[in-house]
Amino acid sequence: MKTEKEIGIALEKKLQGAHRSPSPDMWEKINGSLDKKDRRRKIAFWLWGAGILIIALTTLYVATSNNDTQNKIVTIQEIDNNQTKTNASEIKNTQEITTNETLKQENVTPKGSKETDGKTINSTPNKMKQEVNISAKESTLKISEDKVKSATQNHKKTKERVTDEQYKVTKSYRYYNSKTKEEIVTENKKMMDSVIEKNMQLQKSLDSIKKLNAKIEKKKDSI
Amino acid sequence: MTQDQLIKKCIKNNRAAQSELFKQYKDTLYFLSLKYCRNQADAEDNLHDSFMTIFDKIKNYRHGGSFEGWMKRITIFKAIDKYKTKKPLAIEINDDILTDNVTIEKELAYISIDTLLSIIQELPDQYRLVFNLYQLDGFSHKEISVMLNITESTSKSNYHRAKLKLRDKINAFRNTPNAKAYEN
Repeated sequence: MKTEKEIGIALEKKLQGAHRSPSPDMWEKINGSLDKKDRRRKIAFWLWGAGILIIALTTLYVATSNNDTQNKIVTIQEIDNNQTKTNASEIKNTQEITTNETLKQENVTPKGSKETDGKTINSTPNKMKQEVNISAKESTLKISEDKVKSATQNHKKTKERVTDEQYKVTKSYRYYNSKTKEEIVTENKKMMDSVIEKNMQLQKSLDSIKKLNAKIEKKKDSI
Repeated sequence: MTQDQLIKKCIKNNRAAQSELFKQYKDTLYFLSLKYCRNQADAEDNLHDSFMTIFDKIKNYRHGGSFEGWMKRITIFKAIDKYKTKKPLAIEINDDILTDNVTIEKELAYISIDTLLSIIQELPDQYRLVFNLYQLDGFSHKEISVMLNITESTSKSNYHRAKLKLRDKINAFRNTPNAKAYEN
């Protein structure tokens, strides 16, 4: 006797609850894949961290550079030290020289008065008194008023370089007196030239005063 | 260790717990893969991919349903993803045919499970998927149509054709000398 059965139901019953085992190294494969995945996760974590850091740094850089462009002027100062060091001490000595010397000369032969370079030397037959009043104040020794001291050798230049097309380029002149700590900065070249000229004249007058003093000393010695 | 503890440890990526979970469910999920795949190699690949997904998505598991059922669904969907891309079989449908039962004359008691598995594996991919989904895992044709991106009618047709092919193959196997000797 034949018994007919629906094939789907028959197969379902037959396969119900059945099991098969995979190959023994199956877990090893999965374990290896899990290790790889962990490594990838770690790498991804570090890359993510690095990415955040780069973004942060870039943002910071962009923000900083924006501030710079707002200022637009990048000043690069180059100070010529060789020029600033010369004659600084000499000039200080001449700043407030107020030579008010009274030379009392006794037993000097009467030769009358003598004019030298506009300075008066008075002499008397018996008691020759020579007073040399050298008023350096009058001859531009008032440095504080002029704010200029031997600018020929002490001036400093400030240069501004062009770093980008959008930056403004200016050229300024800087004068600094190391003794008085005075500083002049100007873009006017003529003004700086006049300052230098005045200082040259001052120096000449100081030289002449020194010569005169030297002559007086000689005379004194001879008497 | 209870199942909840095991799941919690697996969520923390504890390798010992993952190994334990694998040991507990490997046979069930492997057999499931064998039914849905073409051969043992494909079934092992599917099992590997399924466990990788299970360990990755276990944190999303909601404790409301069966954990084994959740893992089975992952395994089935992995297999479907493997074969779904294939071009669907275009079959003309005759509704009268679909209502007919496909029967076999004898019990399947004398046919081994491995033989039956290999017969199922020999089915065309879409027939095999539909037959397994509908007959062995209890999905409706509507659900299958969504899962495989086919129409409901196509699913019904594929199921019917799959049964016809299975019957022919089983009958062919019975006529082999080895099977006759085994039956006697």
